[in-house]
Amino acid sequence: MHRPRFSRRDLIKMGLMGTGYIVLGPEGRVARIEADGFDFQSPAIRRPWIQDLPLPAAPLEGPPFADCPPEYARFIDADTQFFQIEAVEREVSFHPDLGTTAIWGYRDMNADPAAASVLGPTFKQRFGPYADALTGKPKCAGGLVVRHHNNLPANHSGFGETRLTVHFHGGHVQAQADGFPEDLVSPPAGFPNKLVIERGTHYDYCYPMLDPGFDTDVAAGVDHVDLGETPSTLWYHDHLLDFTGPNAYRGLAGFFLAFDDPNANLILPHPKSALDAGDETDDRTLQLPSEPFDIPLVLQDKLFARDGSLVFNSFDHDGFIGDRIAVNGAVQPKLRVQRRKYRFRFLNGSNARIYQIFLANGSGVKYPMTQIATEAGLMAEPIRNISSVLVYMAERVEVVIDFTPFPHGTELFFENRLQQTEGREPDGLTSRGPQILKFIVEGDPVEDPSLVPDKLRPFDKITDAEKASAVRRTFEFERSHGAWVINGELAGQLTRPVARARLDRPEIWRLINKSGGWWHPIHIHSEFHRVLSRNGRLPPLDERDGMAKKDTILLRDNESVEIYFKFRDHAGPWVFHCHNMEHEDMAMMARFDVIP
Amino acid sequence: MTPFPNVLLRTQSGAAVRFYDDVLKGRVVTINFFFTTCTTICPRTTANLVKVQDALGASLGRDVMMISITVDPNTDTPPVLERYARAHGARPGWFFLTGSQKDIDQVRRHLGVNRDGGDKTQHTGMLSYGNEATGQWAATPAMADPAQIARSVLRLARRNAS
Repeated sequence: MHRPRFSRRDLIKMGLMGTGYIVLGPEGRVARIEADGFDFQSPAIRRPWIQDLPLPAAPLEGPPFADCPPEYARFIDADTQFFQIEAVEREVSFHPDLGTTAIWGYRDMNADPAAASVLGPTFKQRFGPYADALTGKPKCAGGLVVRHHNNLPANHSGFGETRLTVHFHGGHVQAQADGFPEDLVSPPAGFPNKLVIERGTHYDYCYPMLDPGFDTDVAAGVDHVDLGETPSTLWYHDHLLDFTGPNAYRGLAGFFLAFDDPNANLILPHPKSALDAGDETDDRTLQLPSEPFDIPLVLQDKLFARDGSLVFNSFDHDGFIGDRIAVNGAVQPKLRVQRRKYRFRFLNGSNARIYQIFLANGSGVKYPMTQIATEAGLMAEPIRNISSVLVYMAERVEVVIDFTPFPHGTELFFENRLQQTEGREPDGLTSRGPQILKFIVEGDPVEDPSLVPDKLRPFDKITDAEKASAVRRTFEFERSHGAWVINGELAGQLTRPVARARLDRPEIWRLINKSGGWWHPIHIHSEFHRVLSRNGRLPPLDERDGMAKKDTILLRDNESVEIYFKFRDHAGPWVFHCHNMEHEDMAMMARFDVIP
Repeated sequence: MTPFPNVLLRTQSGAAVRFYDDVLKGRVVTINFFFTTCTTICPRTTANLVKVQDALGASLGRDVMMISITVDPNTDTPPVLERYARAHGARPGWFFLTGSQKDIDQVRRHLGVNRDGGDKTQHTGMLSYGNEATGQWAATPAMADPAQIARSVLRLARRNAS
């Protein structure tokens, strides 16, 4: 079969979106699509805004497990909560016009199966560390253990692999609870080798909910300099070697929201005024808009076949780009809002699509937003009056929007004006773009106890002395012979580390993108980092040290960034990688070890 | 209509094979690209694939086929491929394929490994692997740890047996 050789971008420019290779299975089902020049369009959405924005429930606590791995013992006590999640295939609907879609989803095993949504349950947890009431010594135990079961179907066919590993993205946990991509053939001493959850088995992940530095800083007699970076928007998703893209695309993702505990007997108290406690009425805290006015939003682009099934091209190694943008698992949902402030937590959970989100009315008139947080939680100060937010893969951006000025009946939208037709990089900004979520303003102004103070979570910048003491490393990302290369060496070798960082020793990494024409959001596991410079200059405010902390950092064409971190508390093997999931699956990943 | 280009190729023994019907259909395969006179990445890659062949053991030819396709078909005729295969100790189950440039380019485009700007010395160093029967496909550098490659491929092969 001969087809003209035009890229998807060419076809869109010519207005000629054709159909691709489509394998028709029984009853006209699209069995599989694997094609070059892959061109495919989802069915039209004829009735936008007819469904409400889904907001997945928090998981329910279950009985403790007697058989947790012994390595977790010091983090488990009577306060520890236990959850059970299973990954299963189930039928959902992203939109009534799209019929039903089989996904792989995380499901709370302690909850009614009928309540399961597209997304996994949204964890909502509070942070320690707490002092022992009697001795005053730090108490590490508490937190939670999540038992993840792999109950995906036997004899699966199609894209994706029914082996799992669950990455707690942004979490600060033991390496064996981080979701390493693959079993280790020769693990470091004391580290398990079996990390992948085979079908029909389960794996326990322990999340102690402790501030980074709880061990090492206390042991060293220093304050928690980063105390309080942990109340933040985290998420969990599949991270299986070579198959993260298709597995996450099938639906294996969920939110994990972390809050301060204003009533806790904290070992080193936060300034109460900086607490992100999730209660806007508690005047001991920041009083940011809280539930039900605190709304996480994950953006995921999808392609749907005529029968509603998900379409994926396993051979698009540039990065998967879909044409329908799901928000919390719904395409073009609506949210009725009161005339008051709301907090929205954006997460880009897409494989390769980058978004630039505007708040606009139906005619495209823009309205301002206030950014308050990034991956590591609240920034030092809000950035007010911004007209859009860029959200790249795995990044979290939080904004507050005040709907008070808009009269009853006003319709507003989140609109994505960043056009992207290929996985390599966005094409550029457009004057208008697809509306992905509709707000309908209702009623008169209501009493709104929430605040957006001028100081949120101030923290000290990294000092010159700390920088001077740092171990410096450079990682150059390049493409050579169609493979990703780091520092001239083939990437993706997880059997040995490319770097060994000492526990609690400052590190400065220079990340350089030498692959022109490609954007790469680089995610480093285990610790948040500070952005010291971008292309040799002071970084923009929303990522600059002193304002923000990050766990994923974008490298546009030929850019370089300098980031600082200290790996604390947890030794072990970790990875860093591009969070374009197809690049990650093409081995744009390296292992680094933290050693005592 | 087939999911893969069903182009006519030739093996190192001169047998005419259809890429989909005869090579891929129902099989677990690794697919890489090379050419016999390549002096950049091919010598190291082929040496690594020899180690993959060793790691596959008795599974090669039974559960898994290794497919190496030349990107220089004018030079790499079946007899040239036959010599290359023998020189590297390729066992039964490791096939070296040639064909028309156009057909080979179509296969490369289909597998998404054709971004070399038309310069064959820059051809892909990635190894596609997959299970045609289940429709699972992935890619890894052909220079990756041979034991890791073998484990990944054999895992997909086991799915056929279960």
